This record gives sequence, structure tokens and C-alpha cells, in this order.
Amino acid sequence: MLDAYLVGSVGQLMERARHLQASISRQLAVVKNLPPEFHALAQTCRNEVNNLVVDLGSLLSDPRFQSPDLQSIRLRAYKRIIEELDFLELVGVATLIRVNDEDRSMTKVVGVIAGEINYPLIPPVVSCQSQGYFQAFPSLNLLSIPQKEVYFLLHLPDLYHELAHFILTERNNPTVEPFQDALKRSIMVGRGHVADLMNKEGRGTKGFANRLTAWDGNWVSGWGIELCCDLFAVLACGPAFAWSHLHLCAKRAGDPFLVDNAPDSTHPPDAARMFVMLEALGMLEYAADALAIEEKWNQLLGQAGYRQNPDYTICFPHALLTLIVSYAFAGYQSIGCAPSSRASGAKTHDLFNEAWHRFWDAPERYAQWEKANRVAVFPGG
Amino acid sequence: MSDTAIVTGGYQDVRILAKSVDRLLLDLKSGRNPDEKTIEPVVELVEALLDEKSAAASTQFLGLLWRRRGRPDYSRFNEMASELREHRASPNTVKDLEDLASALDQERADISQRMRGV
Repeated sequence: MLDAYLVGSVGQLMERARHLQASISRQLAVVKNLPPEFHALAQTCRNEVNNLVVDLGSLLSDPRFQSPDLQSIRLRAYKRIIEELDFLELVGVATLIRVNDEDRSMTKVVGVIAGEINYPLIPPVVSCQSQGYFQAFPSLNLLSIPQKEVYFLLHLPDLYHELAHFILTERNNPTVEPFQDALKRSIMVGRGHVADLMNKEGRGTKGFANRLTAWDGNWVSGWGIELCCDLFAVLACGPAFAWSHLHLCAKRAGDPFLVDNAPDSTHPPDAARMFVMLEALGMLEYAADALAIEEKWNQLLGQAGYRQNPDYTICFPHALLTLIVSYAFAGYQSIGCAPSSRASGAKTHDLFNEAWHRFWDAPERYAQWEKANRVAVFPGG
Repeated sequence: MSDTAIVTGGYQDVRILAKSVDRLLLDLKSGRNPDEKTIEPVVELVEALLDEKSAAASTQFLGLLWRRRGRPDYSRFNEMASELREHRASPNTVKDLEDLASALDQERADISQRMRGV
């Protein structure tokens, strides 16, 4: 069955791959459709599609795939190719065939940010077509943000967090290894803490043991990564990033002390994230800002009725989180990125921080101020 | 701050390892002696998992998902690595690699579903 099926399906997929190549070429042929900063993405997609065409061909031509014993391997390879082709079509090529002024502007903004902080990688291009929130696609060096985010300043500090994801997924690059090492050490202390809890006798029930197992996995699958990306962002952007986190929590999040016990949890509790951000601000020149943010954060928690629970207290002791801050701080410095400073003169950094200052200084006038000043980010806005 | 970066980053690691494991299995099961280039990525993972907690974050992630889907005991890792390095993979090692390949395929399907939001 599989042989006949693959002959038909592979032929169709090859035709689909040719369509993708043609779509990219049509965009490349019109300079205004695809400005030079998007050419690297176009080339990546073209190369990947061509590689997949070769892989598709081998499904039919590799004589080993005629053996009945090897059909499961053949089918797995086929599924992987489909996934890759889908990803390229739905993310990479979808970006390339709809590049607009907003994409160009945000790509420039990210380029400016990269310059301001001495970002050690090629800055990603930005697509303003995200159907979720801010999304990073490291394999394509692509960032995706919601369509209208470009017109508003308060969440744009999240760009710094996303930039950190590209650093953490970079391979074979000693320049960024110190920050990757900070992640490794963070995961190590997180898992070490969980191991200590597991070793303590008489702590409890099977349910608690199951939670500990989940927490151990979560340090690996996401908690360490997210904390390190938050710390990169706050070290690069300063108080604006912590304000942006408060903003996001006020708008969208649930209980900030909830420890997710699902085996595929990616995000640590928002309270732990805020804690590390405030600690990092204190290590920069922003102790007063940290106090101001903490005061508003606590007011928000009080008004919403959120309070610490035993799982949170056990899982995220302050000493553990403080250690992670110190690792990230050292890692950030070691990769040569510029720490946030009021005196840096970095235009985008300053604008994002000023936006939050204006927001709290005169909330009723903020929207008007933003409209008049966002031109610094988005010239057409 | 979506989890897409985490999911797609993990997806890349899973995809790369899955290809490596299947390439090795294709050689081993078809009676071909795999070359070093084919063996190395799989042996590197197995050896790194012997000291998992000091391994790179991406290796720990792969170790975690293998563990969740029934990976062999640590005692087997040394045997697997030795057999593969010495080009004498036993049926047990081939079986363990097949289990790993299945685990990676299931993980691929799960990650794909999360990326699509269905």
C-alpha cells in the first residue's frame, strides 16, 4: 500500500514545493515587494524547500526503502518532510508573499534595537501577521507580532525577550555560549532544587511526588528558558520590560502564583518572572524603579485577590530565583551586550521607557502622547 | 511572549535527532555498516545523557522527552554507545533505537499539534 501511496503523494508534494519556489521568485522579481532585508529569509526558504525535494525523491529512489522491514522508517521520514513543508509554507513563505510597510518598519526597529544593545547575531526580520502574541521562529530568523502592535509602544519591550530566544537556540557559536551557559546553570539549579525536595523524606503524598516530577521536566522544557529570556530583556531594556510584563498580566494572565503541573508547561508563574525582573533592575541602576513597579504589582495582586500558595513558595524560593538572576547577569555581560542605562542615549530603549513614564505620569493623556510620538518607531504611523 | 519559540526550538531539536536516528536505523536494519558521520550524532546524545544534568539545555530536553516515553536505564547507555562506536550494534540496541525513533515521532506529532493550535 505504502509504495503506491507514496508515488502519488510525493509527486503531488513536489509540485507543491515548486509552487512555493515560484511564489518566492515572483516576490523577488519585484523589488518593492521584497526589500533586501527579507532576502535572507527568502534564501533560507528556497534552500529548505530544495532540501525537502531531495528528501522526497529519496523516499522513492533509495533501494533500501523497498524492504518491507523498513517501511516504518520510510513513513516517519515522509511525515517529517510534510511537517517541514507545511511550516515553510505557513510561516516562511506566508511572510514573504505579504511583506508590507509595517513589516519593514518593525524589521528596521529590531535592527536598531540590535545595534543599540550590541546584539551578537543577525537580527531577525519581523512579520506583523501573528495570530497569537509575539512569536519567534529561530530556524527562519523570523519574529512575528500582532498586526497593530506596531502602532503602540507599551508591549514593544517584549521584542527584547524574543531576541533572547534566538541567542538560546543558536548553535556552534562561542560568542553566545556564556548566555547559553547561564540557561544551563539555571536549569541545573532549578532541577537541583526539585531533586532536594524529592530527597526530603516524609514530604508527602504521591500527588506531591508527581508534581515534583512535573516540575523537574518543566525546568527543562521551558521555565529556565523563559526566565533567562525575561532577564535578557530587562537587562537590555530596563524598567520598560517589567512594566510590559505587568501590563500583560493585568490584561491577560490568570493567577500569577499558579505553578503549572502539566508535563509540557513552558512558562513559570508570572510572580516568579516579575521577581527576577525586579532583582535584575536592582542590579542595574533602577532600584527606585524596581520599588515603583513592585508597589504597583502588589496593588494589582491585592486588587485581583491573588496570593501565594504553598506550591509556589516551595517551588520558587527567592534564593533560587536570585541565583538565576546572577547567572543571567553574568552571561549577559559576557556576551558583550550593552546593559540598559538611562545615560545610554539609545533612542528606542529611551522611547520605550519614556512611554511607560508618560503612561503613569498622566494616564489620561497617554494615548494622545503615544500617537504623537510613535512616529519615532513607525514613521508612517 | 508566546511559547512558540520554545515549541519551535524544541521541534528543531526533535526533527534533527529523529532524522539522525532514522538514518542510523536505516543502515543498521538494511545490513549496511553506518559511517562515523551517521553514528556520531546518536552516540553524542546517548553519552551526554550519562551526565544529563550538566548537559546542554537542548540535550536535557531530548533526554526528558525520551524519559517520558520510556527510555532505557542509564546502565544501557554505556552499552549502546560502546556498541555503536565499535560498529557491533546488538538487537537490543537496535530495539532501543527503534523505541527512541517512535518516541521522537510521537513528540513530533504532539509538537505539531501544539504549533497548529488544534
